[in-house]
Amino acid sequence: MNFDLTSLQPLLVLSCLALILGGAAAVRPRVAEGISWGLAAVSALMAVVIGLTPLGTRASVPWIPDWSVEWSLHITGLSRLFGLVVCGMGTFVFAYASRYLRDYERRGECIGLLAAFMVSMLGVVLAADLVTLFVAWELTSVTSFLLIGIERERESARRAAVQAFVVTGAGALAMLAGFVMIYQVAGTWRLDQIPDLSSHPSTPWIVGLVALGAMAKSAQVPFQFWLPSAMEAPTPVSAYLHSATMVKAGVFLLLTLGPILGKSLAWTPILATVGCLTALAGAHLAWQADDLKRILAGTTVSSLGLMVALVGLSKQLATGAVLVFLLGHCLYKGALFMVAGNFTFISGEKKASRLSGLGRAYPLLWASALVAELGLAGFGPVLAFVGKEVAFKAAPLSMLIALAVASPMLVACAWRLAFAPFLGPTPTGARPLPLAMLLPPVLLGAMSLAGGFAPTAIQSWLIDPVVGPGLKRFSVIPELDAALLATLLALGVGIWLALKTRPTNAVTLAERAYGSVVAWLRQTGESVRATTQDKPVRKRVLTVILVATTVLAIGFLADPSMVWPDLQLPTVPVLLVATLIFGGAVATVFAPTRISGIVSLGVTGLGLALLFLLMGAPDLAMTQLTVEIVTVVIFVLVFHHLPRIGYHATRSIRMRDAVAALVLAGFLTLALLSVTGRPDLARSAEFYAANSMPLALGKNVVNTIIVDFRAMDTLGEITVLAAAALGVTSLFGKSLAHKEEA
Amino acid sequence: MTIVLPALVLVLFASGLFLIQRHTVVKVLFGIVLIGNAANLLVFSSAGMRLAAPPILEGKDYAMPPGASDPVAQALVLTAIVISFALTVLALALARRLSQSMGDDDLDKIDEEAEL
Repeated sequence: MNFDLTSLQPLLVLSCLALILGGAAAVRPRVAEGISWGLAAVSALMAVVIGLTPLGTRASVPWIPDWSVEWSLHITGLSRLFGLVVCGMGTFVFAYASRYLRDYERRGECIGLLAAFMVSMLGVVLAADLVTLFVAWELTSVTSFLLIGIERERESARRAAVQAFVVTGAGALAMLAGFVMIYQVAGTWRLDQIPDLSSHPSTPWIVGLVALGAMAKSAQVPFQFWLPSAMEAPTPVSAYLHSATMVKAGVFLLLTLGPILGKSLAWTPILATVGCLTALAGAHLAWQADDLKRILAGTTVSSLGLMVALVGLSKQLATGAVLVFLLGHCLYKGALFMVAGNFTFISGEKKASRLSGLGRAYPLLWASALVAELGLAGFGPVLAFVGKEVAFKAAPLSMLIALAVASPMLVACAWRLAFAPFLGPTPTGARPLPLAMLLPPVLLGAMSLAGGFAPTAIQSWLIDPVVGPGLKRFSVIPELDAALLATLLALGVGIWLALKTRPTNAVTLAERAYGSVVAWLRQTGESVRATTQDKPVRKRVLTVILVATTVLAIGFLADPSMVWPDLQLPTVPVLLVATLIFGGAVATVFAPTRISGIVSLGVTGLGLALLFLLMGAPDLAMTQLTVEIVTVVIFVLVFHHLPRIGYHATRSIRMRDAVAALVLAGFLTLALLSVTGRPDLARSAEFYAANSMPLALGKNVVNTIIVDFRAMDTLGEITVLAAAALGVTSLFGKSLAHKEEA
Repeated sequence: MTIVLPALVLVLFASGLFLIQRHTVVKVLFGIVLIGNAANLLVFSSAGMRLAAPPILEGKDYAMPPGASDPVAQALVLTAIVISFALTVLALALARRLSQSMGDDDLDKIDEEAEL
């Protein structure tokens, strides 16, 4: 084993600390507020550490060396950027959550899960190989599932959690298949060792499978519907998982695999189309919604669509645009979620149209909201605008048209959230806003502005290491070109839309489709059950027998070549014992009374014990003898008092059952004969014979196998025995309780 | 190998499979036990069906006696005997509870009553 963690050790130690703090919050909810501040500090420290760790640092621990599977992490330009987003946003979210969740019943659990999510997400973005990436990816899905469904007594929360998990989980399975194909083609899981696979014949399949995973995770059409439903989670969760970090995992995956798959013919058509459709669908969703968080979820879907479309272009400029826009998006969307949470905190309102008059009482909140809305509208001296301008420059005309249609709807949302809630007379009964909830959006807004004014610093520190040098310097001063024209047009149309239209809260087609698929699955399952599992239970036995017969018959038909063992006539003792077993079995079938059936059954078992003895298996003989005696005793105890056995079935039914039984038994015997004809199949006995003495110090090879070589299997056997004993006890313990009651 | 073993496997399986399709609870239980015996015999015989010495090492060099039976199949069956015993006892307990609470031993009638 070769552990090499030296250079990433500080980060791993901090991650463990975050997990411990999260666990402490879950166990002691009373101190969750303080722990949340602690977590904010830890994640800030982690962001600093990520920023300072040199690029190319790598750590790995072997896991399954035979398949070259390991746990490994590394810091590349891309993982540094995403790591900073994860830990940086983590800082703000934990600070905000400390106060926001103070009176929340499940605050401890929520903070703990957020910490677990942060570490999982860090695993995704720092993963240096596909297996680690997949495992961390699934961990984020699990924590997301738990966080969405945290208010588990509400049906809608449970449904949203299951929906998100089913969609992202199914996508992840497709992605895993894609990863395995990459391994088969490239021969390695390590991201830094996979060559460019673009020209390999199976690459279109890989692209399709991996794209499915990314699309499900990043809420792309047709999977976009899970994200608005996920808004059931508390606001800090939505701000962190469902806008800033987890939903960007799909974009991260595509950026990671872009150098490997990006030149494939399938890449651009799939991703550009899906991304543009998502940008449109998300914008429409946001424009139609009135619920604050659904509006924001829709705009998030739209932004994710833009990012996926740009990654699909597989161009240096487009990739640079994705990264700048992604940073800008985190800053403004995180702030918007916190502003929305503050609206609800102040007034208890969740609908945008019911808010008004908050501007005079909360001027700083309004200011932070205005800066954030600039990002959403894609205009003004903010980082998101810089990114959007570059994106428009990188986009071909067809994509630009799609974006020009989507943008006005986003502008309309920004307009509605920027002015209506703040104008008008101050409402009565508004609560004062704590500093811990006001500062995070204000600081995020300040960062958004700072980034807007100094995009070149961000570019040379964070973007260039990913896309390589040679990209034109970004600037907040727009050039007079088609991109600016599109932006200005979108601004005008958007404001007009905001003034002229009202949200309709329409249920999207995709959401309805998901609902009907789930309903169809339920109905089909029920009808399959009704036809195959007919009542009474007893009749299903025949189905089982017939299915087993069919399977065996197909097996023999598929490979009719059979090596017959050479059969000999038995010796006299064996023949006598066989007669005993045969007679016992037949007598059991035709037994007129219970007690005679039990006795016949016992004769069969005793005959079997004798047979084992004759055939060189004294251990089996002893065990069989003991078990048989105890079985007969228990049978008699349970059934001695019951009457004669009657015949319930008609003669023809009994004949049918007998034929079915004989046919299956015949096939099983045939199976036995076909294996014994091949003595070369059993070679493991030699190993145990040779090693029984040196390794297990026992002469009886059967015993050494049972208690030494396969001791774990024996432990399993004992567990089965114990479980059966527990079952029996519980059955009769209950009957005793009934008697006491009576 | 002797022809007796496959014949016995056939008879035990056929009787067991016939019995588990019966109405009477106790017959189904007989069937379960017989199928267990049949399966154990099948696994045991599959390792080469002949009269043999037990797989116990002999002499100073701890060698397997010539023509000893296969210890792996025996270990498997040893485990299987114990597990089928556990299964039988649990099934017996269930049957006992069933006849206590339903007062009938015809599985079809019990099903009908349970429906009501």
